[in-house]
Amino acid sequence: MSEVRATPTRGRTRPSGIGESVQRPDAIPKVTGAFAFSSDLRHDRMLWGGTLRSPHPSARISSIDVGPAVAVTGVHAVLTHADVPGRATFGLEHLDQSVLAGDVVRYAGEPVAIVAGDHPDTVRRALAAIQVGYEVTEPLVDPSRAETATPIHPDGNLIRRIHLRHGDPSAADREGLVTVEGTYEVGMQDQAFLGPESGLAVPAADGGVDLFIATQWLHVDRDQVADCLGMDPDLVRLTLAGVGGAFGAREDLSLHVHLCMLAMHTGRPVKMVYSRQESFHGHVHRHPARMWYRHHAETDGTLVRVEARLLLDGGAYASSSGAVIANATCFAAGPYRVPSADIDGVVVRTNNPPCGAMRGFGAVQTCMAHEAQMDRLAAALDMDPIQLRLKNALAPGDRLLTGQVLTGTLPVAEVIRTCAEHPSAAVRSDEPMTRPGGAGRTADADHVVRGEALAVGFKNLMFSEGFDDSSAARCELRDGVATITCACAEVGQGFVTLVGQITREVLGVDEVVLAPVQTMGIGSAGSTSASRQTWMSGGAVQKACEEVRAAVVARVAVTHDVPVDDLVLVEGRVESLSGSVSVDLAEVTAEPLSADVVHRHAPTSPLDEDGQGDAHVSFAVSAHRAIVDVDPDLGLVRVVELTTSQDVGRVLNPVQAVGQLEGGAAQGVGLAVMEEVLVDNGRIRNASFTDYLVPTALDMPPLEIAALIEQPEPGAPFGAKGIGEPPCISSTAAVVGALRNATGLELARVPVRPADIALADASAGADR
Amino acid sequence: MSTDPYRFAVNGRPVEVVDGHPGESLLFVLRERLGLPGSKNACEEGECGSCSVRLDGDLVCSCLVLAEAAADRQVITVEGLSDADAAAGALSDVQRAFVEAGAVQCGFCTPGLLMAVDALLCEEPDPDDLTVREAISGNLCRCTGYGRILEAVDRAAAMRREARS
Amino acid sequence: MTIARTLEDACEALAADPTATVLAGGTDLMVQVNRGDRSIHNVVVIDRVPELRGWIREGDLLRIGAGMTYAEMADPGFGALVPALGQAARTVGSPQIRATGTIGGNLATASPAGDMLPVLVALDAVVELRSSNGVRHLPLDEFVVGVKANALSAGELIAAVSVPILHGPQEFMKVGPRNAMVISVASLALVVDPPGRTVRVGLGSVAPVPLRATEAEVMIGGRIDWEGGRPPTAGDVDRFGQLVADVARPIDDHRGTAAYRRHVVGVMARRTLVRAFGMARENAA
Repeated sequence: MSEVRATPTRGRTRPSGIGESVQRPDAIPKVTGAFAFSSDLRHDRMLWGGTLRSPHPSARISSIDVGPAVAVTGVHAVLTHADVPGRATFGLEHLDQSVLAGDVVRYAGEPVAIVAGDHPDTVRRALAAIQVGYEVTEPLVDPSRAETATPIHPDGNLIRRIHLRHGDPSAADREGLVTVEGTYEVGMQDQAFLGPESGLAVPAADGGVDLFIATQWLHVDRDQVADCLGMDPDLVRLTLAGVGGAFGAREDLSLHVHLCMLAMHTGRPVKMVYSRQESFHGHVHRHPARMWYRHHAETDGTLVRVEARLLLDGGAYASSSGAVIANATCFAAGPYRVPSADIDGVVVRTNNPPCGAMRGFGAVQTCMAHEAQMDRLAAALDMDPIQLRLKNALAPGDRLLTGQVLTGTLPVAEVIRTCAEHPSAAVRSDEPMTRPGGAGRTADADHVVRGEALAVGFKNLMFSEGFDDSSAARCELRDGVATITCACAEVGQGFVTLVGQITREVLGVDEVVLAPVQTMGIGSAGSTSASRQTWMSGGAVQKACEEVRAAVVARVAVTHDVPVDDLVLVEGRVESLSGSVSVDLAEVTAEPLSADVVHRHAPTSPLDEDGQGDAHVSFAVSAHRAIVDVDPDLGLVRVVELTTSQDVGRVLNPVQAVGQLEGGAAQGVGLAVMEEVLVDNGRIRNASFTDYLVPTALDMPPLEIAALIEQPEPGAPFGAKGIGEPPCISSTAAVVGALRNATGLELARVPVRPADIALADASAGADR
Repeated sequence: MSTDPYRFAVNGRPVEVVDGHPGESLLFVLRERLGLPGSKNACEEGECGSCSVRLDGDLVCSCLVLAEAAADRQVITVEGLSDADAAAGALSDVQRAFVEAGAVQCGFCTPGLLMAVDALLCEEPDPDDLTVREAISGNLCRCTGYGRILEAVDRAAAMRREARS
Repeated sequence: MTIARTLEDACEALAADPTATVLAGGTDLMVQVNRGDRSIHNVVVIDRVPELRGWIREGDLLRIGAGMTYAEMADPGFGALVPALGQAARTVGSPQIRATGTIGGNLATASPAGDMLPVLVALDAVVELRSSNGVRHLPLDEFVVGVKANALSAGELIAAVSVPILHGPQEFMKVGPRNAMVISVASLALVVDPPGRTVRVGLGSVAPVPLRATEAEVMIGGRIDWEGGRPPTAGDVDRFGQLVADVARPIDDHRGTAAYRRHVVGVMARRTLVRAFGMARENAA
């Protein structure tokens, strides 16, 4: 993989530093088609790989006969569980998933065998020729039965329970309170990144393997792969190939070990690309959730107590379910002061497709529920829903459900107010194509009703519960050119741009070179998830650059006999404030200087048996206001306008920030009205873009940004908060709230399907 | 078993495929045989537009074109978008607009979108918002929410207007 | 593989190998090929056959070449002749799909959700089939015979489909959960023939094959004031909607339930009728 060069700037004629809308350094190769995504890689003598997957959600494997596949002309390898050289299992939290199923399959799509051949067609024919004997067993598909059902895995069916108890448990045991209750459901969303799972493994002369792969966390992948290959981690060399989006779906291993096994076995480079249908089976999805809530409040709207039971379906393997349920539980009540709470959060194992990380990570599900509850409460109190939220809004100094005191910034009230007060630009167009139904021409003007709602949500930034998270970065300055080495996985979010901005800001250089992103020669940068990379890897890069700056300044101070404090680095020079010194940075660094740092955030604590503890580093809050048009007789929906305010700490790159907010909101719209992996008795029914619908340009309205609230976060590099996740948290809740407002229906489930509106029993409407 | 050799033109240059497999799509041939991986393979079932190319001037999904059946046709891919008479490597107006507007995040949808937008502006130099959205309704993007993409189309249309005047 | 240059070429190639696969736009076929669900050994490419392109008007009959693309049918010039077909063409897939997908392909695939089919069945379309043995004509309801089942004989291909040019309002509606690129959950075509005093209704995605709502047609045809131009009464509209819905034989599948499909068919029937008779309000109240 070649180095990515940042656009050099001379004399600062173009914006280049922190706070500027600097152009991304990989934009040009991406628009010319030259940028190499993981599925674009090629190698001489390469073979193609493929995977045989279980068609059954639950079965014992009685036999595997690869003979007929081996006999197919052009096949070079057919491998099964018996060929896994090292550890047979892998996993992010628990090593509970087999590299290749040996005696049992636990979900439809579980890998059973892998093939290498000379053409994708050969591979397809070979896969079809493998004979697997299955003894089909009854799958466990109802998560509410999982805890009492026979375990489907030696680790049991309970993946994790957190029973959060906060404050006085009897706080609601008195007269005069208003109580509202509801049960809500969130369907299984898919990350649906566009770049399919793919990669290239090249066996090396030293007995190792070079794996070029699209992923979110190289070092954790490497460690799992090395374990499963039974090899020293230094012999398993991962290089990040271009990533076509991630959104959580690339945190777990997919084809990594399979590719390496095929390459090692055949002695040839092997390329594998999942089809879209296979991709739906090849990665984890967002946890579907069933949530019961009860809110108690004073008649003036002050929240007194929240009770909730959350049931998340983790599917067949644990993935990162433990962390997801922790998030869902910790943020279950939303960004409000809740003095007393009892939240029982459970994630269970079933024979449904495995679930894990997806942008928003548990907070998406509970936000939909707590915002529905707040609207229910507002109706019961005959109170304006926005006033109710403002009345209870969290602020710094308040205590969260976990007992943690908010010591950083969290401008909940400002986010709500700016969003609510932003003028709407929504008009009622006479153009039929803009009505629900679009080109389907189903609605005339008098068939359409409009609704509006506001929703707020928050979650933690970065990893939690005492996890020792870190990111490593190296800065080398030679001949005035800075080279940054950091294993942060760029998945589209724009970290590659930020690296240049930070480096230029600190060192005053023009040219910044990003070294290839690899596991070799640099430590882990951690995961591109949890809205953490700006803080962690941005922070590591900042620190490394600052150490180099200090070394440059020290060097010039000595050679020019000036105090260190007198020197600054600006526009490619080292200059003294007094004006006596001005040297070319390139000359000063003819003898290179470098610094290696490992950046950590302030430590966090685990949650105790009552879910109490200072478990999180920082938080971010966002609000969305949605305006929707609904055709109630057909149940068709058009989201007309979305407005948002978000707590961002500091905007480091305005155009990239807008991109994150717009993209996240689109995913939120998708979950609200059209996205769901339909699972029927353990089998996915819509594993294609034909029937897994993501919003098109005709479905996604413009996103109005009311405010990016900049209250610098203490401890965060540049005061900047991560911004990737909040946009998809409150957006879903706002859209479904607006649908309730338009239709008067309860709409307790997302995605809202047309039949949920069109066939709703009008007499069982919402409490309005 | 392989196909008879067949010839067509890509980005103005003649190409020949001598040992194709039956059933290979134009997308596969571009990416795996002709060294043109710019067109992308996000779904290979005509539902995402990431493989969009121009076939004899029409915007089509190359994953749905049987490569052999493209014999004697003219194909334009994203690699061929740059101005023919500008210096090699120069960007077309649409490409520049996408870069400047921040319309590229992961970039996987970008080539297909560039082809769709280029085709749109050739047909409709001054499209309104709804026309643009309909023209790109066959191109899925998962990263951007389409906001910066629509901005890029406005910019590209403005660039073309200026170039004409 | 044969690239046919004339209709005769194509028929000869099919006569030589009746198991050959006919390929025009490829928007259905290639999906299956890419998935590995179908392997093709002998292909007859027909998208360059001039006799299959374009349309010919013969009095009040329109002969549509099987190779006409959705994009061509969505063109206002064509839409003026058969508005419902033009409206339906605009709802198919995406701009990319519309550029190469053809009406012949929609007929050959014979999917219950085929977007052209409700319109063609409402228009009493006649399909023209050619082979080296000659030509034969089949009414649409004898051509589309089941789920993805057509009446093509070995060696035959679809050359054209003919529809009457009516001089009255036409409406097509399609229900789907997204505003673009969506397989129809239910669709309906309503065409009015004032000189013939008929209203004809075609339904899609609510049965294995496209349906006509004959009882509803007869009912409303008898109730409309053809001479005086008074619009149908609200009661007539409701009754019409109910009769149309009663004809539907939908199933539950991952795209929608039978109950929902039946419901929306009734809604679409009422709305298209109201629109056709000028009772709709186009502008927001």
